[in-house]
Amino acid sequence: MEVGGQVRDLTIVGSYQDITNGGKTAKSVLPTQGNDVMWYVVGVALAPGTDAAATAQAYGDQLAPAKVHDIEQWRAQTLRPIARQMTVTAAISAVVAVALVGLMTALFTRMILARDAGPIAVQRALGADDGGLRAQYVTRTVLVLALGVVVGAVAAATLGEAMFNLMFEGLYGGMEALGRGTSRIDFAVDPLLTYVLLPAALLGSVSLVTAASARSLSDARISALTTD
Amino acid sequence: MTTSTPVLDARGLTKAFDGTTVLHGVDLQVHDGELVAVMGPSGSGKSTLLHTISGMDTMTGGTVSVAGQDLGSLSQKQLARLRLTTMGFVFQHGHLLTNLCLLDNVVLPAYLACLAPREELNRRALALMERMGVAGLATRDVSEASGGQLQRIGICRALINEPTIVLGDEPTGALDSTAAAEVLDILGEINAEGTTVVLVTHDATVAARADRVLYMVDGRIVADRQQGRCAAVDLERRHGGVAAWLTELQPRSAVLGPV
Repeated sequence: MEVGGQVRDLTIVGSYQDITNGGKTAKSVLPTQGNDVMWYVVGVALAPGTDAAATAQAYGDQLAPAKVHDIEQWRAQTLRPIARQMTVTAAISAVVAVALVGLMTALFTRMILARDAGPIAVQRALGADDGGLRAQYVTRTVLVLALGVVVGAVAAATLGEAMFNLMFEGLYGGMEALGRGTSRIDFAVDPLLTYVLLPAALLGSVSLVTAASARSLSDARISALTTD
Repeated sequence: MTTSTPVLDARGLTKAFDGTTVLHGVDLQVHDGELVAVMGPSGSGKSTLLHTISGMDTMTGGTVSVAGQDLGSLSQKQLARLRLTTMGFVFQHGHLLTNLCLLDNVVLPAYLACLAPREELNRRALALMERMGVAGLATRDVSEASGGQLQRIGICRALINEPTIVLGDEPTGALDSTAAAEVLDILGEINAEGTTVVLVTHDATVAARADRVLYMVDGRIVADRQQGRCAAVDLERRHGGVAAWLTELQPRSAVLGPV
């Protein structure tokens, strides 16, 4: 790095998480010529009870052209677009996940029904009601889903954050960055969304798709198993 | 001639698959306590007739009533219920469910009908299995029984709900002559106790036990005789041809083996 016209060797000894700057950032404090400095950032901690807006206004007047912002305003200006994009991305991911689960359920149900065509035909011939047979398949699928939701929720609550951060490190820093601890994003879990609404969406999707797919069991006929 | 209300009454029964008519306006009345054999060559529509009069397949035209219930007026659910409580089925290959033990296979129709607590159903099923000589197989899997034993289990399953009519589709078709004779003895006993039995069969020796034999050709009943063995043999010779009849008997001869 060239500092004040001199080339200097810098060794990076540590980095920290910065989602706005490629995942991780390192900082250094170096003696420089003031004219070359692009900007200064000065943090000011106000005493309890101080009027933040009035103080910011006063600093702005005295230190013009310096920009003085309340930290909340700065945070909103810096992170809100990213937060908004992440929210949209998460919502799209959730919708795609539910749709994929529905698609997989439909394919799996049809495969199971094809496998069970013989026993279904026999049960229908004996007098089993189609609705009752359909209910068997919906019940089985929903039970598997319930088990999956419980295991998934527990795994997400215990391992999810660590796995996400590990993935994030690998994503931005490559294999050598894994486990270094440079990425640390704390999950802000919405319990209603995570443990109620998303499982309910999965339950609704899977139940409807299974019931719809299982309508084809009415096509299973004993005549297909016998010859005249 | 029987004058009572028929247990099974089919009039002008027609069945077509993809535009091909398999049953052509069949009229058939079966009365309480009859043992009826339906014979005919392959493709004559015997099994289709059985499937249609039992409501397993929907009819294309005509009317069918079983135990006074018009099948055409029933919903799928009502039709299933009627089949469950009024009819018993014996299939050629047993068609037992391999994921259930033999006792549970027998219990299945009663369980579906929700007619009694499970313990009562087990008792009833075991009593039937005892009578058929297969009680010792109750906890066995389907793969652990012979063809004759499986067919006896199938008969137990057909009888578990005390049906008005038992319908058999080639019930001895997959059995050797000894097992076939035993199964026919059992079906004869059931009929003697008052249950109506309708059997679809290729085998003249099966039909010989019936007190009424129908012969089907190309989706039509071409003969309806009230006698037993003589009727079966005579009808087979007349409509199926001697060669076909002899062919039918060949496997029985083969059981004895060459000398």
